[in-house]
Amino acid sequence: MSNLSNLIAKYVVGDFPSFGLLLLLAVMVAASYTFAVSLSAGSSGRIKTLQAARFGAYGTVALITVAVLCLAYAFVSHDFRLRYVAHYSDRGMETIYLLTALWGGQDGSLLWWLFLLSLYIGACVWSLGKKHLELQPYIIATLMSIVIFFCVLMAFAANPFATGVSGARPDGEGLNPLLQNFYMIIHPPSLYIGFVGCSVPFAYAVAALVTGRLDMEWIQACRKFTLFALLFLAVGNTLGMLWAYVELGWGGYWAWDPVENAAFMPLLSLAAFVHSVMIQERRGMLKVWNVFLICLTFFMTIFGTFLTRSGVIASVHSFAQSSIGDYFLYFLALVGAFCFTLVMYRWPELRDIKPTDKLRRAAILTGWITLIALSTAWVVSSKLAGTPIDATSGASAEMVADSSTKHSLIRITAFSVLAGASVFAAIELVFRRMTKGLDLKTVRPKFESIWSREFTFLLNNYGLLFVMFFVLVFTTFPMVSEAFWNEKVTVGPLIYNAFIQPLGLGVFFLMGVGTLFGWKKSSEEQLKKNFMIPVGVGLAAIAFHFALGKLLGHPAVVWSPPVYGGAMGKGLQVLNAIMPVLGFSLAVFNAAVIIQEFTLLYRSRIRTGSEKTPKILWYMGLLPGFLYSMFTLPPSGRRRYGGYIVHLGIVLMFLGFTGKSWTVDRETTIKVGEEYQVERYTLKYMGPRMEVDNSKRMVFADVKVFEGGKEVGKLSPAKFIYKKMPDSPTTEIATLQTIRDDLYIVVGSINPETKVASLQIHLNPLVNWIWFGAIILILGSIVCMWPEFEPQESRAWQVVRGTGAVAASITLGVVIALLPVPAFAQGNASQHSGSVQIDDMKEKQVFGQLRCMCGTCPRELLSSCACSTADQTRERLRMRLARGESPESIVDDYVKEHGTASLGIPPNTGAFRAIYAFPIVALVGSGVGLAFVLRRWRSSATDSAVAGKNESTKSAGKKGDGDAPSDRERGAKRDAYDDRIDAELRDLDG
Amino acid sequence: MADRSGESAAESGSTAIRDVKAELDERRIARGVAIGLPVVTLTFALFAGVTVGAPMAILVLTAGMLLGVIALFWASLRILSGDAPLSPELEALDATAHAVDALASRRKMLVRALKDLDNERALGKLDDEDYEAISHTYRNELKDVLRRIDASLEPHRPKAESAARAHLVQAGLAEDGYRGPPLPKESEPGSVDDDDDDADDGDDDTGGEAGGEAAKSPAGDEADVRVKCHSCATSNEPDATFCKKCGASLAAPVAREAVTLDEPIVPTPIDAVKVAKRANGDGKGDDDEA
Repeated sequence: MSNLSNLIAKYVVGDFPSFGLLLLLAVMVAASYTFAVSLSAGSSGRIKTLQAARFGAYGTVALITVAVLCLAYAFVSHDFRLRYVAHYSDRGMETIYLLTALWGGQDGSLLWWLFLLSLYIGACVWSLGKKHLELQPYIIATLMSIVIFFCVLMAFAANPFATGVSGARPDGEGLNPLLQNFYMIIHPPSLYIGFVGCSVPFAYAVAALVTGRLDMEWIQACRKFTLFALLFLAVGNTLGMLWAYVELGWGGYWAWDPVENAAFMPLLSLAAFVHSVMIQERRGMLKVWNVFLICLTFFMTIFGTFLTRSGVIASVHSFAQSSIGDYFLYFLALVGAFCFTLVMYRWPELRDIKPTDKLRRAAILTGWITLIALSTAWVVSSKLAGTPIDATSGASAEMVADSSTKHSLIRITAFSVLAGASVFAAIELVFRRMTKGLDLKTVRPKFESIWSREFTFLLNNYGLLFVMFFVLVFTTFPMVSEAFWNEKVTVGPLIYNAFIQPLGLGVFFLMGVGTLFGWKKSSEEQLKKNFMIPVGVGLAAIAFHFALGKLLGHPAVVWSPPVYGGAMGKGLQVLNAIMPVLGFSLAVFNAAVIIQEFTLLYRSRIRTGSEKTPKILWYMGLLPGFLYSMFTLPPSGRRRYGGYIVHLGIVLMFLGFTGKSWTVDRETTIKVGEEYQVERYTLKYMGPRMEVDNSKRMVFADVKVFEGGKEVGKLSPAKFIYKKMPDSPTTEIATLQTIRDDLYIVVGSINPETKVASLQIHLNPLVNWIWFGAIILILGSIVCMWPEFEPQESRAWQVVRGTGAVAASITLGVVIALLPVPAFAQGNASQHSGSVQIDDMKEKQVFGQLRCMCGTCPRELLSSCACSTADQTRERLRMRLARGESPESIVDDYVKEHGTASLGIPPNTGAFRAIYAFPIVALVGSGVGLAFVLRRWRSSATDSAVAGKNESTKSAGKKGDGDAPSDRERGAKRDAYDDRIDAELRDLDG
Repeated sequence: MADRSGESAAESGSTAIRDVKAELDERRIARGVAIGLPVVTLTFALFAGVTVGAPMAILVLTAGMLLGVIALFWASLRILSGDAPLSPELEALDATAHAVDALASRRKMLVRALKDLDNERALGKLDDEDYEAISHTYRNELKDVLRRIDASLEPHRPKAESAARAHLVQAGLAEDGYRGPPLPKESEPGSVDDDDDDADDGDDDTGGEAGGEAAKSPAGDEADVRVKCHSCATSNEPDATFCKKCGASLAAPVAREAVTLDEPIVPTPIDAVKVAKRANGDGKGDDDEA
């Protein structure tokens, strides 16, 4: 019967590849049509035009779906005329993997992106319905322009329907076995859903800017989409971690790979956005900041895509290099310029100043003049500084770095002077002149106290954005270094961990502190009371950790070799050494804060009588009752406490991250029947076993695991040798998962005669808390996003909700908990990653700094690369250490031999210091700036606080003789408006 | 001549009827396609997938989608060209840009702020002294904003009044020509609906002000025809047979009083008893039970 479909393919869809391209062009036409119609609807305000635009949007969505379905058909029917299909599939693949191969390569993943975007557009347009009629046209227009960009991209640079040069092949190449696993089915889609989801709030922001409706409307309208995108960014990143952990077989889950970072950065800025909008909601402040954040998030998603697809930065994930990078760059420039101009245009509204044309023109002109002046200053300063010594002229890395330092210093000085001058000129000459005579007083909202949630949310934004900034600088540094100083450098995980860990824990600390503060102001007494328990518990945790840590195998302080020499290296080393105890105690602190919040909630609900959860749900186990009370909270309360549940999930994940400090890595060769001890486990190697199936030959090494004499499991790590790729066998890990840790075994090789196996064994403490924390995070997000129901609910509906709560809690937990299980059955490949046993501190220091230069692995360090070149190199360097040479000289010689890129992290010399200097300076500078801003807000706060106190004491102080007269006095102060206000407050949230 | 014009009138009348019928038909077809096409496509796709295989199922889905594309763009172009009818609700919508109502959004923000303060106090983060001081400031500001909102609505009041009266006449709750008492100064149209700042629909303001006030006033005017118990003087619903306070039968001929409202009424969810009480001179000002 498949012949029937082939027949159809042959006669009905004769020239299928051209048909596919035609579809893409048709999508472009449809999107352009919708774009034009929606803009027309926006300017004319006619509902008919808007309705036409909506149908156009739906039509575009359907057309994109047709295109995707066509590609899916090509895969499923093995149409190897298409180059993409031939490259990524073969006749032996199962249907499910044929479909997942759709997003396995560059072109198809772009089409997949477009498809997900179309689903979002459909959902967005449908949910908009008859609401927000002023914003709708521009939302649709923005989304359509993104569609057009991707169509242009695919039509001209990455056509999934392109035919292969040699025509149809009998069979395809097949998907890399590395990608034929369960995680390929769920990780890219979920991450893409997060990425693409950022386009929707962006569209709302652009619509708000264009129409000038910059109050809460656009934020509240796109709230669900924002939370949804945030959830899937988090889930996508977690699935990526899970995939790396289970499939790549190097024992870790995050390598600070550029692609991982590209997925991480929008998550941070979107999280910052979700928090800072609450300040705008309550005070009307930070309008410019919020718009900037959402534009930044969208920019980051496109930028991240650019980074991973253009090949500018080497990565495990790299797609094939192509000219596609240029398209992305142009689009990024366009998006940046567009957002910048829009924000400048709406600057009066954003700052609550009365808008006039003169003011608008002045703002736009000043903004653009400043930008152009800054670029000119940059160019001029580069010319003044001259060029550094060309690296290829044989200069040593140090010489280059030193001249680069001089060059950079001149450049920075010249640029600062010129930039300062140009900004001054723009503001004084242009802006002041143009706005002469205009009233520029802003209606600044008052600020009661810095001991408030508003303040801590600002700090949260500051922290999150600086983590993002550090990650951004580190990720793009290789690009920057090659462009400016003509030197290739590698930025390895060491430097990320050194800097980001402390920053991350700082934000983590803020998470707990911020929760303790209340909105508007937290009274001093109350604050002290609320801080007592969590701080006490946190300190107790520190003491507990120091006392009992070593006993349990998880010491409080773990020393690792310094990343740099010198004072800074020492400082970083100390900071990183106390990460374990800090991480643990902060996790305990945060957990205590969250539990305390829920206790306060239930206490206040019982006191006010609003706790209406049916008792039976509590008796059925805490979870259904808890979920029911969560879902029946009023919307703002539900979002708040849903947020706390999300925080709880993050706490558990951080607990899991802390466990990384105590990983135990071992490598051994073992004979049949021999035993090997790893901490509390005894491993007994039972022997190899071989199995064969259609596509591969599987060699297992059976290992029995004993704990305290009792057998606790049987693990079978394996090597899969695929018929298609006999030269690169893939590694399959085997793990024994408990709450406490993971026993993770990888088999390196098995000698066929002697049956001796070489095993790599990792003991990863607390790693399962990461996955469990992610589940809690998902649950919290669902609580936040749950749709609101009408206040007049029937009793029956409440019962339904209660049942739903029970069912949801059970189902969700079961389904997601089962996710990691199939991973055991999947085969997978690592290139050469694994681990190598290095006991010596000196060896660790040397091997941890140098990269393996075998040429195939992009960023593997000598301490983790398991290829033969690495083995030889390690032996050579070990001999040199044994001869008494210092680690520093060995490292220097290695660098001289192989170039700066052979260092795991950029050298701490000359201009390369910029990698940490620049972000740290920015961090401190913005901190100072933030302090100034807060001082300005605080002065308005103290004024208003004093005024408020005077007012209330005035009214209270009119006490006559006894209470009754003062009541009447106070009663006389209450008027009809007070009753009206009270009634409104009652109705609000019920 | 009269016949011909009569004929042409009849013709145009029948053309009009035909147009309306065509409109209804077209809408029915549109609805049918909107539901039928996906259902049929999915069914066929499932069938094809089960019998033939995945490729066929995908082909069927593709074909169905393509038909959907054509239908959607057809609809879009027809609406754009003005030939296709819109549903009545859409026609009624006024899509002209509504200016940003700064006062309304400020009001929402201040009410939210007061609610926050209440919540924080309930949770124990704010002590009473701070609460009083801060909420006092917000309350004053909110009162100022409310005053400004009411002032801005003042000029629209007579229009709303006459609209409400016309509605009452239509509903038979007041006689034609009934002038009724002057409506209170502080009625607020639309206040019923715009507290849901957390729900995602904010279009309640698009309904227009007159409608809102008309919705409000009948409730207020209903008090005009309430039944007063002859034993305890409690005001009861117009259709009550027994007094709700003392239980006496109301069947006895009792004066259907046109209650005069000479004090300003607080336009919160109308507590009819309170209104009637005040009208009967029982109230002592507005600061008794809220």
